[in-house]
Amino acid sequence: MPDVASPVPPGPVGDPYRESCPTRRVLDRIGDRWTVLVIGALAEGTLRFSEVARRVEGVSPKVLTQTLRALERDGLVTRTVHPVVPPRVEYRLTDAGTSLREPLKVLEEWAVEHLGGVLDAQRRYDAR
Amino acid sequence: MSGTQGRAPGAATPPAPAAGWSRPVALVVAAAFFMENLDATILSTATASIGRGFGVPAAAVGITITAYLVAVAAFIPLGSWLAERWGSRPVFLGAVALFTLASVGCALSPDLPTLTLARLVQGFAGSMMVPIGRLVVLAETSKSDLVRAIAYLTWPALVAPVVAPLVGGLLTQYAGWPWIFVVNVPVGVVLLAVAWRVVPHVPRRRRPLDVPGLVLSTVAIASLVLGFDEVTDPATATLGVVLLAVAVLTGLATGGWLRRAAHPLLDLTTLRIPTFGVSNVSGSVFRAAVSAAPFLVPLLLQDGFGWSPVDAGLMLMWVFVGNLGIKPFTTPLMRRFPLVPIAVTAAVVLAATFAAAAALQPGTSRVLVALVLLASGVARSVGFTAYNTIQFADVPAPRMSPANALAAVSAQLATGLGVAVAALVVRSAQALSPQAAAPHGYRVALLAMAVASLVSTIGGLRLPRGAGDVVRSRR
Repeated sequence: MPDVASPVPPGPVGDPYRESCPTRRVLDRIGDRWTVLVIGALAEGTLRFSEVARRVEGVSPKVLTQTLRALERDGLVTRTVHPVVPPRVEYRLTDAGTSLREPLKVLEEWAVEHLGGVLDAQRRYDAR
Repeated sequence: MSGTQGRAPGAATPPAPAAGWSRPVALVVAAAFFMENLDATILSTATASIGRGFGVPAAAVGITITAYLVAVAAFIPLGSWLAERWGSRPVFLGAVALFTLASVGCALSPDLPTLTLARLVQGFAGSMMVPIGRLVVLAETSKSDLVRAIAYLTWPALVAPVVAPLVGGLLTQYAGWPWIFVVNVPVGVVLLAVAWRVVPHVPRRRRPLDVPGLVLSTVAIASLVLGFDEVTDPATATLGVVLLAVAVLTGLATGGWLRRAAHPLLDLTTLRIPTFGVSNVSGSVFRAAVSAAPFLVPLLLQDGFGWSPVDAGLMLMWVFVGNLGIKPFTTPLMRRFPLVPIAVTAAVVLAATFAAAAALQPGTSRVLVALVLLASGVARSVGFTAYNTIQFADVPAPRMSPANALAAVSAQLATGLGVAVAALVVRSAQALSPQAAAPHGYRVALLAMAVASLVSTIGGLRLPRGAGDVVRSRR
C-alpha cells in the first residue's frame, strides 16, 4: 500500500477525482466504518486496546489492530506502550485526529438520523 | 543442624538467637513476598473498572500502579535502616500490618487521589516487607541450608507477575475492583498471626541514620522509576528526560557519598565479595532480561500478531507452567551441579528462547509458541534461583544486613529497568523503520534481551571455579 504521507506526484495537487491522486488513500481511511467508530471512541479520551474493543462492538482483535496501526501511521492516533507488566498500551487522538472528529461525527449523526428513511427506501426498492 | 553461624569465612559469632533454618518462617515470608509482588501488577486489568467507578479516564488510573512501584523501590534503604534500629521482627510485623491496613484504605477509597495515597502507603509497607523478610530468613539460615531457604523466597517473584493479571481480571469482573484489595485482609491477618508466633528476634545494630545517603538514594531511585514511566509517553517525554537526568546526578552523588560516609546507609564495600558482586551486577542484567519477557511476549502476540488479549494471556501461562514445573528440581540441581555453570547455562537457554520468540510468525503453530515459553519459564526459574543462591554464599553473617539491603535495591531496579529498556527499544525500532511490519519493534527488543542475557554470563564466567559452592555441601 502506498504511503499516504509520501510526496504528492506532479500534477494538480490534491484532486481525489484523479485516479493517481494519493488523497484517495486518505478517503479510503477516513471513509472506513471502523475508522469512524474508533475515532469516535477515542474522542472521549485515551483508551487501552481492550477498551476500544469493548466500545466498538463486533470488531475482531485483528481488524482493530490493523485499524489502529493504520491510524497511527497516518498520524491520527498516538500509541503509548507503558513499561509495566503486563504491558499497558494506550491510544489517543493526535491534533489531526481530533480535527477529524467533527466531520466524522456529522457522518455518524447522519447515519443515525436517516436510518429510518434509508430502511424505508430499501424496503420500497426491494418490493419493486 | 550444624552451627547456625554456618561456614561464613571469618564470621564473628553474633549474639545468636538462632534456631537455624525454619520452614514456617520461610513460608510466612514467602507469602508476604507473594502479596507484595501480586499487588504490583494486579491492578493492571482493573484500571478501566476503577476509572468508571471514579468517573475518570482509565489512563489516569495508571498513576496508582506507578505510585506503588515507586514507593516499593524508593523506601528500601529506609526500611533496612529501620530494621537495624528497631529489630527486624517488629518492623516486619509492622510492615505486614500496615500493608493490610493500606489495602483496606485502597478498597474503601472514594476517589483517585485517595486511592493513589493508599497505594503509596501500601508500597511503602511492601518495601519493608520484602528485604526485611529475606533478612529474617537468611539471618537464621546456615550456609548449607541457604539453597533450600532461597528456593522458598524465589517463587513469589516468579509466579506473581504471571498470575496477577488473571486474578485481578477475575476479581474485578465477578466481585468488583475493591475485592482486589479486600482479599489482602484475611491473608494479612493470617500472616500476622503466624508471623507473630514464628518470626524470631534478630539482633539489632544501632547506628546513626545517614540522612544525606537516605535523601540522595531515595530521590535517585524514585526519579529513576518515575522517569522511565514518563519517558515512554510522547506527551510526557520531556519530563521523563528531566527525571532521568535527576536520577543520574543524584545516583552519582549517592555513590560518592556512600563511599565517604562514616555510617553509609548502603554499604557498597560488600560488592567486593566476588560472588556477591557478580550476582548483583551480572545477576541484575539477567534479572532485567527475564523481567522483559512477560512484557514483550504479550505485545508480540497481541499487537504484533493480532491475537486477542485472552489468547495472549493464556499463552503466557506456559511461562508459569515452566517456572513451577522445574521448581521441585531446582534444589537437587543446585546440590548436584556447581552453581556458576547452572546460572550461565540458564542465561544461555534464556537467550535462545528470546531469539526463538523473535523468530515466531503469526502462523506459527501454537504448540511451538507454548514450547518456547515453557523453556523460557524453566530457564527463568533455574537462573533466578542460582543467582539468588550464589548471591549470599560468601557473605559473612555480620554483613548480611547491608548486603541484603543492597541486593534488594538492585533486584527491584533491575526488574523495572528491564521492562523500561525493552519499551525504549521497541519505540526506537519502530521510529527507525516506520514501514516495517507490526511485530518488528517487538522482535528487535526480544533480540536485544537475548543479547543482554548472553552478556550476563560474562561475570559468571570470570568467577573462579567452584565459586559459591560452599552452600552446596550437605551437612
